[in-house]
Amino acid sequence: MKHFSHMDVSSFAEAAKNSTGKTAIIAGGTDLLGTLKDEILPTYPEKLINIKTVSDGAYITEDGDKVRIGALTRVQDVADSELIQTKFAALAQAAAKVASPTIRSMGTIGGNICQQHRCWYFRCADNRFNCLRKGGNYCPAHVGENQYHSIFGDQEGCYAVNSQETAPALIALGATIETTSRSIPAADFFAANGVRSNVLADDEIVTEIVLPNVEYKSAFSKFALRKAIDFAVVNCAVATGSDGKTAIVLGGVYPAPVRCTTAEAAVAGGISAETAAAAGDAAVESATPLANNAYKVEIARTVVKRTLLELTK
Amino acid sequence: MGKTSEWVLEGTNDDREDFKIVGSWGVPGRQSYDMATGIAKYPRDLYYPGTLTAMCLRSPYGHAKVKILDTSKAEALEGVKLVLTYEDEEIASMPKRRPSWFELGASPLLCDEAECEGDECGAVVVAINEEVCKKALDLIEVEWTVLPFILDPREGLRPDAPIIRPEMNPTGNVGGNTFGAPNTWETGSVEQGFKEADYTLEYDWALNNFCQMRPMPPAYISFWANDPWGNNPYEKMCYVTHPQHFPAIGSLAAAELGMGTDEDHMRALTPYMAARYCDFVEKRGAQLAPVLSRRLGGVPVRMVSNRRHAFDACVPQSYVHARVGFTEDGVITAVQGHNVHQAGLRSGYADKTAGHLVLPPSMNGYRTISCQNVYCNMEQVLTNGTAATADPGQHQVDQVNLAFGRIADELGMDITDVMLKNIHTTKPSLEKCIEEGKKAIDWDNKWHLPGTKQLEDGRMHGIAARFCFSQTWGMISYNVNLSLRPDGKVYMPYCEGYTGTFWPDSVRMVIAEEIGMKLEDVIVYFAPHFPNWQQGDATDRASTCTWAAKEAAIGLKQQLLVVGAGFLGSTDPSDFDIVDSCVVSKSNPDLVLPLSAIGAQYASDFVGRPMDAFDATLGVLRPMNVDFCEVAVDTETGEVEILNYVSVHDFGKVMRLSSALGQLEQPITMSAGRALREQVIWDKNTGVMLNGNMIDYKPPTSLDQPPITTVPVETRCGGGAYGSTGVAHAHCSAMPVSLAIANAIGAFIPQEPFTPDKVLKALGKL
Repeated sequence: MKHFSHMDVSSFAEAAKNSTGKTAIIAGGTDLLGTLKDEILPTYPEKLINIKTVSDGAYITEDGDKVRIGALTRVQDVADSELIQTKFAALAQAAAKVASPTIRSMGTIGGNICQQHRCWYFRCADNRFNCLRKGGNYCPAHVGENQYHSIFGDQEGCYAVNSQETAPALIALGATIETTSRSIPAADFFAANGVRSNVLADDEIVTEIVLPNVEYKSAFSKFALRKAIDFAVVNCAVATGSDGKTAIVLGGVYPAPVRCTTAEAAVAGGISAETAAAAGDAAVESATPLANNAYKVEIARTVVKRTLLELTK
Repeated sequence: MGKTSEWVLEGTNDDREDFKIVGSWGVPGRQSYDMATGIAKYPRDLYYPGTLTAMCLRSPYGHAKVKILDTSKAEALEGVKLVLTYEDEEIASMPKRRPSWFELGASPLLCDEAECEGDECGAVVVAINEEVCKKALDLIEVEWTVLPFILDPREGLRPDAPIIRPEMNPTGNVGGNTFGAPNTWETGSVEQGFKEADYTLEYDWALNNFCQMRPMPPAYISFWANDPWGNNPYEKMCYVTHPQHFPAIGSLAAAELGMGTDEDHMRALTPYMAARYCDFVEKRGAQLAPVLSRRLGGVPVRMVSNRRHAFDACVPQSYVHARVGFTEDGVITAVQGHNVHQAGLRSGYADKTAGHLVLPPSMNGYRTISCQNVYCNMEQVLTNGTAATADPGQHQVDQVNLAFGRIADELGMDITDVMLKNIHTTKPSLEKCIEEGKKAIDWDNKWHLPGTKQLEDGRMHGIAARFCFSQTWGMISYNVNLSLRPDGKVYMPYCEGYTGTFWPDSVRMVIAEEIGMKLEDVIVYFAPHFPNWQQGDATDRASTCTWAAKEAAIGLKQQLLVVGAGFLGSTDPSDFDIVDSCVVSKSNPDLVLPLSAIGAQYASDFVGRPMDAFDATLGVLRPMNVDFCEVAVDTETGEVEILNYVSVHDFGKVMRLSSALGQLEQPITMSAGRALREQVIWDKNTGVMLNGNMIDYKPPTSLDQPPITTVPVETRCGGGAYGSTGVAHAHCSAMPVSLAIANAIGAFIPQEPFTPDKVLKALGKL
């Protein structure tokens, strides 16, 4: 690792005030430290701003018609929370599928939704590829080894896929991401944005995740090649709210999670083996796989169907 | 029907039955405590006062040459102690050998051409720490000439392929066989064999680049000091390295430094090392460390690399096209095979994979079958991308297993029946392994024709078996020195470091058993200067080392009985035995002499190997092993789950049971990863490795380990002490999974790993 300075802060506001394009935020550090060791970016942060020292950043609480999760809440605590398991099963299941017990016990929910995209060109050690996201002029995955990449085309020219395990669940459950400067619906939060995987500005920090205090019937599925410490080839969250409408969100298939509205229409009348299969077909009908990832279409089709059927159990 | 023959046990003590120590469970390992408690020191843990750090410039391109190099800014950086370039006179004048002990090609220790992305090239920096090193490397101004590269050996054979190593082969990319063995081999009459066949099958099979990455980045430390063992009172080079590399690199470095033999002037410190199988491939850094240390007056220099550089060598790609003729009852009549094999950077170690040291491609495997109408040839193609290391699997045997699987599927036969019909030596070992394995996996109730059994959850069920033989080569003599010291204990030095091999524990048990010592009175100790490093794999060690130890122990025991009898007033040593470290009279049990009472030193040497060394005749097969595998295939996602794995191994005689069973379980981890996930991937447009890390390369986690049942078999037909043999790489193979998938879906997938895309393609869904 290269040299950097380290700064403890006592509040998110203090962290935001000191954040610039030349700093990086560290909480659990499970994603950040790997990127620094591998020197994946053309620039290196001059300073790490440590927000673990913010004393009131980790909590899961009911607050009237909302449930609030502090950004510094450990991923494992989200997975273990009885409240989350009861009302937001998809989120608890997604959190339980993150990486490994050790990483879940270090990593935070805020860090999970802010981690950078998992593209082997973007993350290649020693910054071997100056891709679009780093200021270059092409996406090497588009013409290269793209077996794990987008099956729904590019976002701003990028074919990397979102790797935040909890993102589809947060979108399906209607979450809002609170930052130091605004409230952002989870559906609008994730995006390829320079080296970021979200719409945050340089001086903006996630402080809290807010969920509507409604008991959803929800489920999450993950298809990965390893049972631990692996990112999803495809994941999926489904959630049926009190209005009876079912939200279906795919992850790992596009630079941001994909809300499958046509699939949702297929199960509008209820979930059965037939409608779940139809939803699976609908979810991938607009897929445009790359040279090496047509298999992901079949997996996405199946994962959507099976996750929906989980709601019938 | 295939031929069968009984193996006649031979050799001293093959038939011994009264074991007190050998074969027992729960004997603590020589290395276990250190490793389990964390007190074991690895190279990265070592620090010597004043240690400097060295790092090399590395190529960002798949193949490139330095065009312009300016190190002046790096040299001026505070904290930088030395910058050497490929133009340095001493480096340029050194012997040209690297990166492998066995390599054919030659290049300077540091040159201007990088053969792969990440290759050390052009310059090396020594500084006060890693950060200064990195800064200095960033300050080196370098302009590269980017050269064409080849990643796939098949591309290297194309007429229009660039010639990447003209100094080795100016007209093409085919490299040679390291040991000079022919690349073509024919026995019998293939033409006649195909005439006798009722059926002929033709198929392809391919192995990808599988990386035996180290769990930790290597670190090589060199310094000059007085010999820490006190054998010679003058300065020597001390060299911390991978223990598997020392005999090779030590002598190379000694030659490079003009020091003559390494035994005279070099000492290797070989601490614990998280190693990979058969890791003989090293890069320039390993050999540069002593050069840099000497240039800086003997200060310790640590040559470091990072996590990604641990992916610096791979099991080579291999593409097989085979044609097999067989009769309607499943007996092979002819085999014809062509193999395009990746030689990697400068040929390297690749040919060991296919030919295993002295044999041409595939032949070693086909020598196990009764049919000898076999023709095989191989083209070893130089590539960029990776150095080629030895295959821990049994590539050559798996070609035979593949043939068995294809024949069984074609004829609707049980694959174990095809094995027994074709393998020429089935008794006692193979039959016993198959019998025990079938019982353990419930084969008779589970085996079915391909594509015919669906599980309750909708997945397809598959089951298969795969055989391999234990290579009781005993190729190279082993040197054992035993001495009874005045404390009444027997000591044996060994030079090989802690690589995870278990043979010191087995050897200790054999010595105690044979002399009649308490186990705690036999001390097997690490002595880096003792010349008994055993070339070969763990099977060699288990056979040759235990044999040699047994013979030395017999010699020492004879001396001790004479001496002990004398102490007890007898001139008849035949009346005495040694029991629990005491000389005891057989006729008068009251006459007892603890060995510690002898109070003097007695020694015994044995240099040699088992009487039945590697034999090129067809009767070489003795201890066998069979793996049974059961899978479930999700036909909607292409996901394969290994439901059950039964590993049956004929150890001949088990020495240390925990080692034996561990050596069965560990390879299954490797096999499962290789079968389902692992493959090094390069960007085809740039030659840059994309998944050189533990996340993207996807080695198995503990949760991915399939259920494993280990079944030790003891037929006493091995070449080592008491008819033992080792395990080595026998069970490292993706073939059981491959054949089980074929049994599940009725289609064979011709290329590892069996990832969802390939499964779905085989199912016709892509």
